[in-house]
Amino acid sequence: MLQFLFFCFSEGLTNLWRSRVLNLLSIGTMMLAIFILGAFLLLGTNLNRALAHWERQIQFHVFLSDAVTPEQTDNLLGLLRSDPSVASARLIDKAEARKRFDDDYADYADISQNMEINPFPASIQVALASGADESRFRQLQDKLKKQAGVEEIHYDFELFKRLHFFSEFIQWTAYLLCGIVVFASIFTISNVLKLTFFSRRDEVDIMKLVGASRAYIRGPFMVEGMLQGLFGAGMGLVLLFLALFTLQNYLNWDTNSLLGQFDLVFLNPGTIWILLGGGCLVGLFGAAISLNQFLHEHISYQ
Amino acid sequence: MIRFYHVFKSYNRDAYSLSDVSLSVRPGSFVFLTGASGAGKTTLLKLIIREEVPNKGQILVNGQNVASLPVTKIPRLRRSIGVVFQDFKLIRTKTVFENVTFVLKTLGFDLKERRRKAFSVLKQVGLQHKTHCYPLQLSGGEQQRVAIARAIVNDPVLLLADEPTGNLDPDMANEIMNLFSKINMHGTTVLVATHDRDMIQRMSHRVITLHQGRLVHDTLPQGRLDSH
Repeated sequence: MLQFLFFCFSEGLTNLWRSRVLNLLSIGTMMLAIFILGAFLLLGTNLNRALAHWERQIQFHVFLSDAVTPEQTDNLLGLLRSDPSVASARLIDKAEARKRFDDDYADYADISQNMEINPFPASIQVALASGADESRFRQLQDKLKKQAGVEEIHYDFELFKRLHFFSEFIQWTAYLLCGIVVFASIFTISNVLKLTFFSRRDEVDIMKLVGASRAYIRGPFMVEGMLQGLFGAGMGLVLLFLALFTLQNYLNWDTNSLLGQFDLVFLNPGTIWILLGGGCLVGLFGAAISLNQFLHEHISYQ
Repeated sequence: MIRFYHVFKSYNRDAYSLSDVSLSVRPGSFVFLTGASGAGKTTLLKLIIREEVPNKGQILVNGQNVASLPVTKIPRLRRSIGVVFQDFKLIRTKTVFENVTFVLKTLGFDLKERRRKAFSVLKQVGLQHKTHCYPLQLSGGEQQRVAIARAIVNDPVLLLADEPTGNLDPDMANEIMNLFSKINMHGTTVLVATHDRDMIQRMSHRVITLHQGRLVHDTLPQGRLDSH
């Protein structure tokens, strides 16, 4: 068995090198396919990380009614601070709310100052603890709504829902691309191998005549297809890594400002192995398809 | 070694390439197979190595019924037979050494053993100094000698040659035929298909003559008919 594998790999590698110009076509296709697929997976992974990162920093506001008493406010603060899903709860009284408006909207400060009554409600600014999700927030919201002195609870879920939807869209696009890419790669590899077979059909005839078994004839071709897939996938991943590295250096200021000191990460080792293994399988499958067509006509022992 | 029993072979409905051929070749003998182009020589050789299947009749090669041989056993049969072709059929992209040892590689011989066997047969054919050359760097005669080396490297019990001197000048053709005689003297059965009558007369071996697919003469060197 080892001897057979050694034979297949040595012949497969030799054949790969011998038809290197032709093989560049299928390796290039696979490289491009893995690069595009990997880019989408990379985008999905980093978008998910960014969302998780932003969610950890998210805060919501519990607006208090004008009639709220200090006891009710203390009671609310105590309730929030004792909840494990709350990281912090801070009271913003009416005066501070007005000051924040004046600071944030300096152009309209006159409007605020000219008002005799402070229209800005007091609120409690709540930061959720790490790992707290939407369902936990809903429970907390239901509990707070029942408390006296609570006017409104504001949390911008729509934005996050949209971002999650976008992230899922990216991932599903990656899966769809995966299908197209796999099909295109199998098609290219099988056709390139068909050309290779035809260019070597004399060799195959000779192998047949000197008594090489079907396994010994097929083996090197299968290995050749597998190596095309593997090399293509490997080169695609290297290209993707270089692209990410360049992008990260070139746009460093931008990602920091957009994502808030958030580093882009490469695909995890599991995904890398899956893509490399997938490349091998696609190559093997492409080789098997063309071999079945070719062998039937040229390598059938009659 | 080889037995044909009323063998018929046709590639189309109109004509038989071989028609009712019966013959026998003893182990260790040297036999010429002759006839005009299209007489059926190549078809007969193809039937022996099971490149073709007879329409009727039985063929025994080294005790195996070739006509009913399972497909999985064909490679084993072919490994026991050395074949030399008129057009040499060498793999152009492989060196002399690689061409000769290819069959050994598929049989699992290690590099050391392959080298030993290859050197031995290349010495026999006088090409031990050309192991690293590619076929296109060799003359026609040298290429044919490489093909012979490849055919005998696995110590076959039977050596078939289809017009082995067809592309060679007379001196080279003589050299090749002497090589076959030497191989035959070591006990290998040799069957050579040729239409070179001068060569046949010079060599003085049994001659089987085909004409339009039929066996018309089976002559021993002394000139008498062979009952086999």
